[in-house]
Amino acid sequence: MVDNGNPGPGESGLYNRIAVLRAERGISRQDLADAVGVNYQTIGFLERGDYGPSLKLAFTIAAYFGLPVDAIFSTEPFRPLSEQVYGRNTQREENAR
Amino acid sequence: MISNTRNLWGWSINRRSTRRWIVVFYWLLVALIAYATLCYTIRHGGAFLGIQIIQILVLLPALLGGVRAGGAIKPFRGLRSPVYAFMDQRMISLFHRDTAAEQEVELDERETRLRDRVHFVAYTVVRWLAMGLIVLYGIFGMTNPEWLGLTGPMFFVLLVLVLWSLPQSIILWNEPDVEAER
Repeated sequence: MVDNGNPGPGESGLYNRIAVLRAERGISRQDLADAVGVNYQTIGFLERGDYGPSLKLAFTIAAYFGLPVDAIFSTEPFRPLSEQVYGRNTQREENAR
Repeated sequence: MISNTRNLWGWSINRRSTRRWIVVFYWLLVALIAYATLCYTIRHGGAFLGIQIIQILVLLPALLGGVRAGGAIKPFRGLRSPVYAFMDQRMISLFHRDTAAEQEVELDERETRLRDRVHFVAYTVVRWLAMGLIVLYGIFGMTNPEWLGLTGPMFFVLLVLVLWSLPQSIILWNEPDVEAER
């Protein structure tokens, strides 16, 4: 695990934000699995980074969350969302001054 | 890849440790059958072999699943013929109480990839096993030809069992615990 709360790359070598997005929107693994057409255990494998999805599945998941693929999957560790949001606000405030 | 019911005769197979015990039990049973085949062949010749093979092909792989529905893991195939569907129903009712959960047999992309990978591993094992048997037969067959007749059926039974159940055993051994949170 990396320290920003997102899972490590696991066996797949991919970082992802599925668990964060799912928790944020209150979606169960089963709901997500049904929506993207996989078994709910596969969602667990994806979240842990133990399985690298096909392009088709990655795009399906991205479409489900309404986000670009690179907002959900990355080969580099993600910056914490709080840092991204508040870091940007701090930057804006500094620019305003 | 674990069956949708996630139980076998009412036992939960969510935990990997339970599944590993099933695999150990299965292969002990296989060893026992191979030994019984050898003993019987020594006494009565190869007539018993046909019955053994039928038992093995119908009953044993059904316990682990893969080949048939109703076992510990989902069936490997994508499409079912009506004959298979009928036989699967019998197997499901034999191993599970909850038959409705086992109706869905489609494998998703991760499960299909896993299935193909373990079949490659199993093929590699069987390839080396077959090579070992040929060498063994070459060595002992020259010095003791009777040995071939005695051990041949046992090795044949073993090879059939390995072919029919090694991929399932690898999956059951390696798949992590099924998480309770859905």
